[in-house]
Amino acid sequence: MSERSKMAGSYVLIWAITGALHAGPQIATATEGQYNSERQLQQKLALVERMLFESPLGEQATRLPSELPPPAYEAWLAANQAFERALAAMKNRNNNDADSLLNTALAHYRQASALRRQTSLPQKDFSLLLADIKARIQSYRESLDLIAQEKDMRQPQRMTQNEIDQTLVIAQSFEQQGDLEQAVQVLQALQTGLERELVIVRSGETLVSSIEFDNPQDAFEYELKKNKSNEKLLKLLLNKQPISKDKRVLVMNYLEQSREAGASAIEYREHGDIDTALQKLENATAIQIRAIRLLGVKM
Amino acid sequence: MKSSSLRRSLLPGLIVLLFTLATQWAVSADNKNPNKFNRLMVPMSERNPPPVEDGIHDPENFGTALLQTPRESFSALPRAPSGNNVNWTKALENGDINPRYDRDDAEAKPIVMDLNIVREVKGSMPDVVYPHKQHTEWLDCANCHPAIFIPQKGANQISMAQILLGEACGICHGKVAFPVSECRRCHSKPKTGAQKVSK
Repeated sequence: MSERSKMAGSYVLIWAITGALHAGPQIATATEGQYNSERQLQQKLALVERMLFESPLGEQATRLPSELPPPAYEAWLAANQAFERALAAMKNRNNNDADSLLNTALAHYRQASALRRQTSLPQKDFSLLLADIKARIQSYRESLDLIAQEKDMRQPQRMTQNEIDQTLVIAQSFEQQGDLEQAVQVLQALQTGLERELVIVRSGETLVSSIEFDNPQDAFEYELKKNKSNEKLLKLLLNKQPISKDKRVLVMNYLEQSREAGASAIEYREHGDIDTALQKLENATAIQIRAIRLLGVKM
Repeated sequence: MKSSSLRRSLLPGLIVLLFTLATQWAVSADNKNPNKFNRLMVPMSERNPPPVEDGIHDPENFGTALLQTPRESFSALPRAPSGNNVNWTKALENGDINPRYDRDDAEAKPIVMDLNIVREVKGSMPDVVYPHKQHTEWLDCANCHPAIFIPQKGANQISMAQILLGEACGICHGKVAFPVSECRRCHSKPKTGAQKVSK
């Protein structure tokens, strides 16, 4: 073999190794999901076992079965039996039966879990849910009132204020009796009703959120909020983005310039020169954006 | 073959190997740079990893390995150039996906609101159009109101920085919905002539 052909051979060998290194993950990706059926069955078995014995339902069923609602416990027992039979089927290498029995076990487990949830959801969960729904109802009512003002309508919605108030009273009475679940149901229906009202009054519309402010003070407040969130983003980027030393120095300079311009804007505002204050603040924001772009974020 | 001649014949090949590995390393290091804090702005090759590698699911849990991989499940859905490479809006429109509106009720229908909010923005970027319709076909009003957005005209100031920080729209966009790198999907309403002059 000549020197030349030996060298060519070594190139081929090296490229083959490199190619294999490159192709390895791609082959793995292509076969991803194609698990060996037996391994998959074993994993499923382990999953069902964990659900049956290590989940809150499983722990309750094994330790304190008397605290479980009887139908939930019965469903759990049925799941357990199916699981035991699946184990036996696997020992006999009857994988199809085992798979089907594991599915049965899962179905019983789900049933047990749903029955347990229905009857033993802690009261504190309902109280949190209740607080959330109340906040939403309040917010939707305020929106409907504002829409009524905007459209100069006395009553924009089909549901009257009186009806809403009456429903709230009913929910409150359930709450006072300690029946939070019923209170939640009543309020959920009211929430859905209000959502439908909002859809009716706003459907087909286009609202414009303008940046033409009523006065320069509002424009200043708008710019100030933007400035603060930009500053927060810059701090995050400086901590998380890997950047060169030179770039960091440049960004820090920009940051300092924008802070100076921002401080000067506040001073102008305190002295009553709101127009100059706004101009200074806009300048500070523009510098921040330059720094953010320098850190690789388009905005 | 003598060992010295073997070394001579392998040397160029080894140089090529080292060069290739160095290039690979440089490319992968470069890929790690852009906007790593925004989950869907990661390089294409790192997107949609299998559940055992995604950093969300517990790799030790047996059930994790049973889950279908996103690459497999997304392969039949309409493609998008960014994020997780799925155009979810189109997937919903086409009926490729049929998300359940209520976890406990398969028959429940969404309350769809056909309301567009146009948000004027400073500078030369087109104004933003927020379509309630596409969002409410999938989400419940309560997913966003009032905790994220107060349902009142002009009550919510939103900035790009906030979104990039994972607030406001950024609670979903950049995480489970298309990322902010898709500027024109939101900044879609060209400014009028008068606006161009005044702002």
